[in-house]
Amino acid sequence: MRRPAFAALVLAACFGCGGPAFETGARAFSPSFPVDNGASIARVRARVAKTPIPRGPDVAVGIAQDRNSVSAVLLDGTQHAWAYAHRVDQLLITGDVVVASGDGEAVVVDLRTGRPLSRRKIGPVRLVGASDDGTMTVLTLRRGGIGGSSVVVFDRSGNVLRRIESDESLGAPALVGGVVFVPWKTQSVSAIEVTTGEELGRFTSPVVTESAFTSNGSIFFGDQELVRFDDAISAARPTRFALPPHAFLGETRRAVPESAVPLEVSDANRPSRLLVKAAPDPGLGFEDNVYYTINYGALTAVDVGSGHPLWSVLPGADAAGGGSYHGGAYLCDVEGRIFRVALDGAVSPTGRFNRPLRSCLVRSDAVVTVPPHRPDPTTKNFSSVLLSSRPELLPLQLSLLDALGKFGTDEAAQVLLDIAEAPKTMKDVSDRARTVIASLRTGRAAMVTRLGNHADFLAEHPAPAVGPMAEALATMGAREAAPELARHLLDPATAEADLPAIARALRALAGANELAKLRQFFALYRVAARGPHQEAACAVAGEALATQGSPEDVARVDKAQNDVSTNAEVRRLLAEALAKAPRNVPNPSRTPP
Amino acid sequence: MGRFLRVLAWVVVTESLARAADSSVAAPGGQRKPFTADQRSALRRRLETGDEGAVRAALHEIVGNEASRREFGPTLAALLDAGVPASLAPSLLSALGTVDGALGASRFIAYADHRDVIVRRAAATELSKLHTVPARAALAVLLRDFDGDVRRLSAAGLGDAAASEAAPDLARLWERGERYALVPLAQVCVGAPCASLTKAAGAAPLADTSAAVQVFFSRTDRGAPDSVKVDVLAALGASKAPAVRAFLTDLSERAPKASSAAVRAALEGAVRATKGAPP
Repeated sequence: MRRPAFAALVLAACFGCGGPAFETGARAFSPSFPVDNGASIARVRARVAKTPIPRGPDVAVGIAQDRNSVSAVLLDGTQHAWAYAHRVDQLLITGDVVVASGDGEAVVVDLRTGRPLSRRKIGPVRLVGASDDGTMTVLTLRRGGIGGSSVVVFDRSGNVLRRIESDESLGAPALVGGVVFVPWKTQSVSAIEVTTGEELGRFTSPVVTESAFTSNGSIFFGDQELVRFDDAISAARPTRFALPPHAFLGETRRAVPESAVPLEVSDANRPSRLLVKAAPDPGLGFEDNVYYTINYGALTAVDVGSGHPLWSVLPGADAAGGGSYHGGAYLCDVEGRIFRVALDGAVSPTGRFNRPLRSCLVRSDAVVTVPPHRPDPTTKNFSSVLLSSRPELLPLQLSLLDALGKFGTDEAAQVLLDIAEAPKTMKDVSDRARTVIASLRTGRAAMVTRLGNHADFLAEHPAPAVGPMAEALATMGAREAAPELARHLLDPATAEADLPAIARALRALAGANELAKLRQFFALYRVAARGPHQEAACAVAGEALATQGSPEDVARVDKAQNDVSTNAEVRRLLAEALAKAPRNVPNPSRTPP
Repeated sequence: MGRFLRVLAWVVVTESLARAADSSVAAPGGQRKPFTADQRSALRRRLETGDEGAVRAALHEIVGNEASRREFGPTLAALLDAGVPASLAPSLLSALGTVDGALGASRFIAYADHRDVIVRRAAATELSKLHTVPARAALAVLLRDFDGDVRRLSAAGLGDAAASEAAPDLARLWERGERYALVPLAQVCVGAPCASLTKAAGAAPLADTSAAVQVFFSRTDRGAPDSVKVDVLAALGASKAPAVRAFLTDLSERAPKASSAAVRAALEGAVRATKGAPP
């Protein structure tokens, strides 16, 4: 009983530090706010539209490994870096400042200089969000067990200009032109004038709205789906967009940039993080139509429309965080290195922190004049991740392979084939690549070309994934693949496990020349077959000869079936198959000369 | 003493009996008398039983009978065509190679694709004896086999067949550390691929290169250029290993009479260069 009372006392003392006593926001968030069909928010739009929203410096901000300092590296080419000692539990970038909270205090630090601009005691509350317009800072704070939230606006001297208490659950605010946009009840956004505390307008959001934020010179509301605060804000259908439910996203579908909402240190090392940035007005959707995911050390670019991965790279050690920009994304690793990865997948080191990081955020609003190049999928774009033996990357690797299987292009098929035959691939990855290849209904030309490769000691070629290709090509009816499939059937370097699939494919695709190879295979192994793969392949070869071959072939197979020296399992499988598919009425076109 | 003499006498007697037995079994040219018709049909029946022991015994008899063995060629070929256990295939391939290599050629090529490595080695051995164009082509493919013995047998066969078309692959094998490839390369190389010998002479131990150098210097055809021979000698002459001087001295004594003046001069120079080394 004593503890809540004590906590309330502490909160009251902290919120009051350096400012006037408690205010109640009687007008803001009032249930009696008139339903005006968007008239009030339209007026706010008209007022705010005249205020340019400044783009802050491009910057990477990091939390040190021991959480006792925040540091930054400017990404404007100067490589200017600074560090500021302060306990950090939460961190976000807004405008020209970084807001860090920890040990019951929020500090606003100038991004360009590292100089603290203001500090506020906030007590044992959670920083929900913050915004800064260059002259004042607004924080949304949420109390824990007691409930309710506060909005606190203070100037560079730390003087509280406005404080609003509410029993509602308030979201992350945006501050533009002296107006604070505060989401609440996950559905409404109140536009509150700082100087008067009056609620100027209210927007009833059609999407779940946890945050208001500025990005790329615009204001956005939302969470997984975003609404842009533009001239359509009062219309029946405001401008809204979301990330489609792609496999790469899993549960992580938040479309709010990481830098715009507080990064909690406890969340910083979660296995999957999403880097996304809304396109600037008047564009609709996301920058470059691409989003990025971070999985441990891997950064993956995914096309928003199709869900197809463009590339996946492992630039450094485990990732500490990153951010997207028009033309690519930044990634920082736990060793403090910063990498810039262009939209074409090219990785370049762009700076480094002077310390190991626990987590980092990157915000870049730089305007790129050269249109970024979107690459076709090539093995180079995926090899570092797909060939990695780090077990924690396995879910990403499997997702990438599944996605490549849906591309429907020769290039994607090439990537899958490369991965399936790469000697250093992890078994689970190789197996999935083979499964995906077997299910392909495209990439026919790539596969036929690849079948021309044979395992070769001299050329140091490994054996290609012939079995899965055989399955896919047989389904596609690719008769042009038959000659090479026949060569692989007889190639002693072909993997044992691939033999049955090759034989089955040849049963469907073989011409006269391939029947000759099946004849040779049947002769070599009808007695000598060892193990289930050779036995199965031999039985299928015999079945193909008996059902499609010459009268001599039919007689040869019959004789083999009655010969006790023929492998018993081959005889059994052959008998079963021929019971279903009767022996051939000879087909002259298939009879060898 | 008496006991010692008794033991000695026993050893002498048993040794002479064993020698007598050996000489009767391994008489050069094998059995002279052709098989009778009954013997032939009995042997064919044994071959067709599929019983490994019976087949091996029959093969032994057939191969040993020089007068009649050739007529069993078609039977052996038919057995291989129909399919045999991997354990028996090497014996059959070897027997067919002895009985009628030309008839066996297509079977050796087919069995060179067998998944059992022992069978492939047997096929490579038989192909190496043929020196025909198809056999050389099959051996060239086997140079890429993942089994080292198959490659070694194939390389030797290509060298014996003077298959100059295989020289680039043999050179690549040598560069990959396959020491057996150097002698065949010295046998077959023409022009540029012979330069591998110079590299080898300069870098590899004499034990790995001496046979290849000897083979190369015994060649007097235009394919083995004097310039390469001179380079090889220069590379060897740079070595101060004691064995090199002895080897070069021996090489100069054995050098073919047709060797050019330049090669002879290079040989003498190389011997002089290693003079510091004890012979």
